[in-house]
Amino acid sequence: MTTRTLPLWLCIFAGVALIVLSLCLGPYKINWSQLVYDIAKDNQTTETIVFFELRIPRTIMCILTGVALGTGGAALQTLLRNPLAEPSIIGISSSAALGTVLVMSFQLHLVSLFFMPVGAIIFSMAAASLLVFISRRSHDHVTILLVGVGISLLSGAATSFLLSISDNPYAVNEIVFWMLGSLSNVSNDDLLLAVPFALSGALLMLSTAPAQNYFVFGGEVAASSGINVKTLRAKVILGASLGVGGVTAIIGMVGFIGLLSPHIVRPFVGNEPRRTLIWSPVVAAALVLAADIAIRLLPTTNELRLGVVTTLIGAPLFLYVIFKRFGH
Amino acid sequence: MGRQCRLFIAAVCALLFIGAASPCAHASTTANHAATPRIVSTNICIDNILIHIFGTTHLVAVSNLVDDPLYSQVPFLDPAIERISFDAENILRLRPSLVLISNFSNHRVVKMLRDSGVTMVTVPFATKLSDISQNIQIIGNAIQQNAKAEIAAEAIRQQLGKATPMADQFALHVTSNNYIYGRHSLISDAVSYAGLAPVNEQGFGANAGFYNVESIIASNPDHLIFDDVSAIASPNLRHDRYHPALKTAFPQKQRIKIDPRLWSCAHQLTPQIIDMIKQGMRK
Repeated sequence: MTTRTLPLWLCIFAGVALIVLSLCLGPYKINWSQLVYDIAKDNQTTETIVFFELRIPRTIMCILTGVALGTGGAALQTLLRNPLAEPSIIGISSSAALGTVLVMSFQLHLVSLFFMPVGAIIFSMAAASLLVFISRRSHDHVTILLVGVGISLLSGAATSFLLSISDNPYAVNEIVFWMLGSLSNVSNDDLLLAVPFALSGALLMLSTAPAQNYFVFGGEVAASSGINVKTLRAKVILGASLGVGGVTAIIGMVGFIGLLSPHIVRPFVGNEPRRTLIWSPVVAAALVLAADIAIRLLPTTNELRLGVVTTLIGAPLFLYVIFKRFGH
Repeated sequence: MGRQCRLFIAAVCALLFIGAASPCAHASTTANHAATPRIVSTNICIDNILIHIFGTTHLVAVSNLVDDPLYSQVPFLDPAIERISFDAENILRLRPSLVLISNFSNHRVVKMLRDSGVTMVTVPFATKLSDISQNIQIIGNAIQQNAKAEIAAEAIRQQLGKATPMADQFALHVTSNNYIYGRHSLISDAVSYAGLAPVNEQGFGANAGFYNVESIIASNPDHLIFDDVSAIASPNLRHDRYHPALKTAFPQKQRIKIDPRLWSCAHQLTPQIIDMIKQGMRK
């Protein structure tokens, strides 16, 4: 632990505190001694139901969302060599949402919920592959970003098309609210669906950490250093798609976490991609936990959507990065 | 003459032809106006009342939800009757003599229809069970079948007259996506008629919105009213999407199951919910 990385270590402690807070906060007032007693006696009471079926899945999903989006953002920024690359900006999240909406439109989710993450992953993988393909031909930051924005717009338009041809206003309403992104009402069943995909995606991306530093100078330099560039690209595409797709299918679109976390981490790790990739999910998980706790503390009748909050915080940062980098 | 020039002339001719054809179509619309009545129903609530009480005579179109077993209680409808969305051109094409709309129908479409001289009657969205008999009379009056309407409306009034409101227990209705319809809704009115309070002492349940499961559990209702589509949905599809925690927190004896087609919009069968809730309480 160095003085420079001290804030990142503090972030871990803050993360642990946020986990505890996330488990403690909610509209139901848990009697903690009663909960301990019920657990010891193996009783099923309202306390145990709220704790094990609502608070724990929600907190785990917060962490999982942060880990998936944090690793996705950091890995994609290095692979595309673009500091603005972020799943929600470059169309990976909106493609995942399109895949899920398509599954919902054809009612495949009523056959098996498993189709939701699968649909999301297939579409996010298509978007990520297209971006990486274009990034190999053009190293211009703006071009890659614009292609990403194009993919995002196309996915958004296709989603709007599906919603507008739906003859069921109730289903449309539900899909629109789902797309806003929320960790409210995550169940253990949802976790079972998301964990295998999101975790394997994050691990796949983290496995590229040792090679990340070589990739800053481009594919050719990385290849000359003995890195199997094709494998690395495939791992990042697959990892980001699994992570973002797995999470988006369950909680909807949560933007800007993948942009914020690497930018927060970089000053403390000397802009080193490998260490950025390792620390980014930690910071992202803390950010998602903090945002979700803030939502729960706000005195609103209807819980604010996580996707709305992260975008309200993330969009100004996005503009700041653009002005800082391209302003002059 | 170049290829582009020829294409341009062809496009101009096509536009001129469409322009010339339009007034003809309009003329035939106006000419057919005075013939037999042509009724268009534009939402599922009106479809249900119209078809069940007054039949399908002179009915040329209904809403496109009419064939959806999850929302419609119309058993079988002649395929010759068109299924439409609330779209001005679609409706005008049918040359209607009467269009039955709702007070939440898209106001731009309503204005277009009004400007086109279409006769429209508004059937308000019911938020109370007593609104149903009024709506039946509005529809009956519009299609000049007042006697039938009065009989059906009276039957509903009698059904509601038998119910005795006596709120001593709190029952909360929640949809599978955790939506609560609030105090001023048809389902809350039905809960009150069944002798239960739809809002708790702290006011939970009063406002409509998506709620989190923990808030619902924390509101501590004596009964939780679930929508049960098992009887109407395909057995191969997983329609029951209630959060598992709700099912665990509210054991069978606290759960009341109702048919969502009865409350999603008001029609002559809606008062049956009162008996369904009462039966659920007696379990």
